[in-house]
Amino acid sequence: MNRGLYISTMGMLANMAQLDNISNNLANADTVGYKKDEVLFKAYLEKEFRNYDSNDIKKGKHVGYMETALIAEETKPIISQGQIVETNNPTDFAIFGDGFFKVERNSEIYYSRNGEFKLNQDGFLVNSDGNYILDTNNQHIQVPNNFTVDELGNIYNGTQLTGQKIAIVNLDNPSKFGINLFTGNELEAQNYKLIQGSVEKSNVDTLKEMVNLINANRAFEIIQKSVQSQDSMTGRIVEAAQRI
Amino acid sequence: MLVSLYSASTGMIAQQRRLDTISNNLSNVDTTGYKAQRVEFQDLLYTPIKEAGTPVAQNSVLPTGDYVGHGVKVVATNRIFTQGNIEQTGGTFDFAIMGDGFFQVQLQDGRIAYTRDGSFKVDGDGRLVTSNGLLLVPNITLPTTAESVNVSPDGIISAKLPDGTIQNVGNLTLVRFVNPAGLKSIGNNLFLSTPASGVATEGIPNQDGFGSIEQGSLEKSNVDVVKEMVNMIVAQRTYDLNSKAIQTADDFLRTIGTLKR
Repeated sequence: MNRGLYISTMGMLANMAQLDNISNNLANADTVGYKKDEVLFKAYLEKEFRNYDSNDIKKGKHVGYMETALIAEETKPIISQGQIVETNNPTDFAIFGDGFFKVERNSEIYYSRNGEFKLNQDGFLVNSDGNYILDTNNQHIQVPNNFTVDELGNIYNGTQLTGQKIAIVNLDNPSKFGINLFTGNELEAQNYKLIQGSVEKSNVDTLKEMVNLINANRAFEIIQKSVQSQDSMTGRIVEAAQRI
Repeated sequence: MLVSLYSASTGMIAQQRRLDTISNNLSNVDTTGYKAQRVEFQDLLYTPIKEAGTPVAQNSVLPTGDYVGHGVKVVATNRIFTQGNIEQTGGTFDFAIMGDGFFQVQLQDGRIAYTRDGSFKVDGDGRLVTSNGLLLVPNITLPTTAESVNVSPDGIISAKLPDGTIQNVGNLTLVRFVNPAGLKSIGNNLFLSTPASGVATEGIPNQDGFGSIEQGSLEKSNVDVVKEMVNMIVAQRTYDLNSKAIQTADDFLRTIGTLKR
């Protein structure tokens, strides 16, 4: 069957994947610590075209390449800095620079840039889901009343160090788990500054997302036209065949 | 159907909730002892199309996966217990708490509720009550002949009698919670304790980290109007943007609909 029809279909599917991604980014434009995703497309199964020699199909002039399809291959979280907004709430933290907080959920460790923490009934630092935030020794963090935290994550009771330090680690290939959590392999984080009383907004650039949205919409329409013209070409062939 | 249609709608719903909270904060901007609320969001789970780390060739794995996000949800409406502005009122029975702590009052059903609203009144029996007539705990009864009443920063209430003697009529105490954000709001400026807030620890004002009592002043709400207005603008715009995503998803569907002729 008409190869172009299927190539066009793949193109439309890729645009739909793009739209899904834009919608998710826009829905989370206000989610603290959210990192936007980008869909990476890949040309699929490149094929070489030759001006074939009718006597020897191995010979022939090189015409060019054609990709037989386009697919959405990866959704990649873009870990750039979000805006830091002051809240004055002592259990809010923003990371300026590299790194993630460590969160224990169902006795597994996840990572997050969302620093809207709370204290639980025993005075432990937890996230909004009640999952414990971990210190550099993977221990739960119990903080005193009126605690303060310095830029590196050391916790103070007044002017005295409590000995616990909020863990900030880097990830080699952070991938999203959802509910503000990431997974990945831990690396040491160095270039970071922890800011108490602030949160990091999402890094979604709404203008860019809107432009992408328009782009996806128009591309989708154009490919549809291509499907239709291929369909009408097939239609004409059928008509011509009927006239014989 | 398109995932984006639903994920964008979660964005609109989340912003509506945010606007609800902002409206409530703004309408309580002048409420004594009111603490601002904040909506917290979370992205939803991701459907993996391709998991990161899937082998693509020998010794080679996908560095990042391909997954579809499903939008956003409200995870908490958190109350922020920062200090509100203190306003001088000159009222004898207006007490503001400077720092940590809550007053205790007794509800009609006997339960203890907690409040930062220190605008107390005296009832017919000389007892200190809230504007709604709830008794302050511990109960303070003033002598009916008292000429003036004085409250010290550490909560000692004394009355000056007509003969010039000063009589100690009781001590105000405050309570504190490990996690005040876990308190349950029941309206009327009152909170109840929950398993999340932890149990109330009672203490003397101006000691052990408890706030001090300021007579003749009230604590206003801690609502920051400028911040709320900015949040309102952001909420409205995000709402708009999400509606555009829904419109685009609709366009996609229409385009699909015209494919076949």
